Amino acid sequence: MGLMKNFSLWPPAEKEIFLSVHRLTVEYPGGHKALQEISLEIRRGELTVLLGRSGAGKSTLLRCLNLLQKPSAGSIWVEGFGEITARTRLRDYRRQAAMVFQLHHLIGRQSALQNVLMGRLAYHSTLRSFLPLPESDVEIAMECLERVGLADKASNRVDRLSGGERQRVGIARALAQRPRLLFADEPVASLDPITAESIMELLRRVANEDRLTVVFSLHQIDLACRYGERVIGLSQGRLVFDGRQHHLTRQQLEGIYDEAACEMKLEAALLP
Amino acid sequence: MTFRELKTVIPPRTGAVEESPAAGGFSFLSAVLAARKRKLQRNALQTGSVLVLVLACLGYADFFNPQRYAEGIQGIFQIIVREGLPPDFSRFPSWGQPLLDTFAMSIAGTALSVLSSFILGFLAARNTTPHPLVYAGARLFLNLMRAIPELILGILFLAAVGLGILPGVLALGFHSIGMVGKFFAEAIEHADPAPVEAVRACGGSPLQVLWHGILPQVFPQMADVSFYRWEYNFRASTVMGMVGCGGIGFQLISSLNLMDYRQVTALLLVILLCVTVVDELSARMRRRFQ
Repeated sequence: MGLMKNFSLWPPAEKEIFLSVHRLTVEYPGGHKALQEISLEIRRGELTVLLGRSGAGKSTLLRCLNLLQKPSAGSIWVEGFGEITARTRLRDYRRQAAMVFQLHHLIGRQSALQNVLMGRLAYHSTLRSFLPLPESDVEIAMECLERVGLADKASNRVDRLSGGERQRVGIARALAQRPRLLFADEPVASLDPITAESIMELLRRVANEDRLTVVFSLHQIDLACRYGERVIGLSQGRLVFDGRQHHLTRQQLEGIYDEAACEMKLEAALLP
Repeated sequence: MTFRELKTVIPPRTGAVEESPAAGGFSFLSAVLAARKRKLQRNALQTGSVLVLVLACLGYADFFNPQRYAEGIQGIFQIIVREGLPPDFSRFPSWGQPLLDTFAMSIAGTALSVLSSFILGFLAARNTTPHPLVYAGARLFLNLMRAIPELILGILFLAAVGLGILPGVLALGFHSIGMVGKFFAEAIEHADPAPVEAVRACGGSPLQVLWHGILPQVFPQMADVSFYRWEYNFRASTVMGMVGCGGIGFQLISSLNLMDYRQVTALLLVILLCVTVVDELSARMRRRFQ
């Protein structure tokens, strides 16, 4: 306990560190440990991929990073905010740490624009947000829709859009927050390979343009290797690999995926 | 029931179909057939018992006694056809005000219940209630409002605030909270948690989560219930007039007491017309909010 307290008081030594996770553990009621003592540091502007099978703890880790999931133990430190707890300026932090979800988490019967405007909420007081948001926010939202190539569908209901378009709206909503951090939880898991590719391209492009620090979770090895600058491998709630994507060896991949059952996938994905 | 359980419950039939040696004299087909047969038997038994219950209740109410109808039908025929026709619209001009009263009562009463239910709904929904005790309290209040008949509430409010349509508005309003609030709470409980999480994730405050994450999802259901309740309250407000809360119902009960049945049929026709108009209006509004 004392060690954690110290840790939270002292920012990490390396200057470039933007986000730092220390011995993060999540234990669900019933004793299942979704995460076990995960420690890692994310540098500013880095594009990190969390790689692992379903249930390895990728989503839990991402959700912990903006405290949608409360860790059972351990701490998260973010530059400019210090240790993140429910009592720190959580709303401020979440505004700067945008999240893109696997199933986009949009409201189907609202228009794309209305959904993107949701990203502006944290810029207003609760009282103010009972009224329609100001036009300046609409301008920002439209600009974000433009960037994801959906300005022409701004007034379409989201449930009439295709899966790829919905995910673009989800990305536009995240951008509307004007974030510094971007988390994406399996952003392409429910899309076909071509659409998935274009969504990954889009995410990489906007991350570069806005100089965002990015953490994705993916289960596709090929995508992880091509889009991640750094790969963090998770298996059964433990960190099993952390390094540059080209340092991933077959053996390490088998560690992440627990067995060699995905032989074919590995053959296709491994870089020469 | 899992397949393993099925296997232990149902002994394999002997026959041509399931004699596959690989399954050891047991096949999926025979298990499925046996389960289907038992399900059909169970359905027949359930339908039969409901039928018996219904018939028993009708018999208990003396429904099958022809003597009860012999004179009754003649009496009703006498009142409606001989004394009630043709309808007497001579006093129609003086019904304008009471009709307006009835419309006003139904709209004000519904608005009162919808506004209160809007807040109570969030308190009485498991996913949005601030505390389990608040949840229990809100649910208890809703049940209480549903349990007291609106006529009783009407008489109580009549004694409390005096004549006019105000007691009717209060009675309809409070009684409607019971049903409207319950439906609102249920709609909120069935809202998709995903957008709710999205609002939290982008830094929304708890109230912003309700207003921007849940409300847009449940708004169509809320509008639907509200307009349906308006229909209901319009019909109910004619009854409220009968206990002295004004409106067209008051005219109806007066004509009944005077045994002026031609005027009664005229009033009933006017009410029928209004109910039809309200139903149609409400149906159009409900479609708009889908």
